[in-house]
Amino acid sequence: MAPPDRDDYPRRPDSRAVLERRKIDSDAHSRMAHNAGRLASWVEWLLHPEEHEFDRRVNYPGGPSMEVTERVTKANQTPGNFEPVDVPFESVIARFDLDQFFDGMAAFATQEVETPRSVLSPAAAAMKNVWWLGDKRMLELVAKKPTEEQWSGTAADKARTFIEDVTTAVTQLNKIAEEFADMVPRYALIVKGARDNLDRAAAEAVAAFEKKFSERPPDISVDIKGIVIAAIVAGATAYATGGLALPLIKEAMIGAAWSKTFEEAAGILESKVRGHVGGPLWIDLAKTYMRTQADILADAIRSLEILASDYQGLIGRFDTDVYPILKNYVQ
Amino acid sequence: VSEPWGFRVQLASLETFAEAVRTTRDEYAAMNGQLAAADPAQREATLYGLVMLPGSRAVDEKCHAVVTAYKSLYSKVAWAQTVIKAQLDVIAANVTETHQLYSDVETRHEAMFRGLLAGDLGERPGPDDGPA
Repeated sequence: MAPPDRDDYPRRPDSRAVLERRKIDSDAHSRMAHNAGRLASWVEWLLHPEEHEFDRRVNYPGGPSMEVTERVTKANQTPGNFEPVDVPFESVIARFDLDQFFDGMAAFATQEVETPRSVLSPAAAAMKNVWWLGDKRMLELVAKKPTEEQWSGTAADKARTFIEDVTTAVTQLNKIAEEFADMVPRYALIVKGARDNLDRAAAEAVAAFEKKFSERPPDISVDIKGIVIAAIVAGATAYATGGLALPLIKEAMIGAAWSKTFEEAAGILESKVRGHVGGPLWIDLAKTYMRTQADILADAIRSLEILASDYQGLIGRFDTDVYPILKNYVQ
Repeated sequence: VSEPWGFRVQLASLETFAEAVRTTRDEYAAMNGQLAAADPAQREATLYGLVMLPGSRAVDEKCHAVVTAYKSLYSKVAWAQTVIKAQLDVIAANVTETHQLYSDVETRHEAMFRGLLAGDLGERPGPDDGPA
């Protein structure tokens, strides 16, 4: 339900511009755009009580300031004017700007990661293939390496030395490639997890706003469920080939594996209560939404930090275990 | 086995090995092409969020840290694959060269034995023929 006399999208140009700048407007391709529009419509309505006759904070002269559900008027003090005038009022969420409700969505609006067209999809497949190549073909090569009796001479010695060296390097490289293949989709899963959680938060905030306006309960508490994003980088998720035979070469196979990775992650990552929108006043609903949004962002930021650190760890292992061997063979 | 010419070869073993080297080399070549095609540096911008918005700056910084590390590791793995493939090229060439040397030796052997055979037929005196 949209605010009274409104629809599920803000009507003010300045409000629409906020969504456009954040790439979550109705023309954007973000799947968060729908709930962003609904939330923006409510926030816009709450921020501009001068445009309607409903909820506002009235500042009684010399008295209290309080939320009310309708216009409060007083006698007109201007001589010759008899129309009552509004008691001074402001928005029930005057301390906030519309922008602030969309900081989280803006942060995750544009990364192209969920679609199989993402540059990450073929990269994960390539890394899995690197692992496969080292695991299968190099082992075969080692097994078929001729002995001194079967092939001797300078070229044979060089070949044997390289194969022995490369066996060590490939063993280490394979451990790195295997972990790397699992880490590539984690960036995508963090972004997706943040989007899902933020989208849910916006939807639940709208639900709370609707309930407060239509039912006028003394207090509201709407839970916001979502995944714990940190679980993604705690090793819970992996690149899933979905039983497809390696190596993954064809585009359709690579796309299927990428989609399967998200499917399997969805089955692993448990949905829990991540926050709530609640309280007796409109300002309480706004504040609790902001807190939930901040918590989701903090979870995502911490997960990105861990992922970056994990990458640095693999880079260190490469530099220590692989590079010193292979640099001797650079021509 | 040909030994007096500076190397020893068992052809069957070498051929099996040569086939394994060629197969592995070809798959490394294909893999290097796949790695190059998926190089994140080519479409790096698609991995980032919005910049210049106060509310998204912290996330954007972390995204850059992840993508930078990811690109670095990716390029290192791709480099390793390139080095391995280049060395497989060298081994494949050496195996081919060994085959060629073996073939040359065989040709010389054959020519020599033909010559000896021709001598046995009376064209040239052999060691068992006694004084000429």
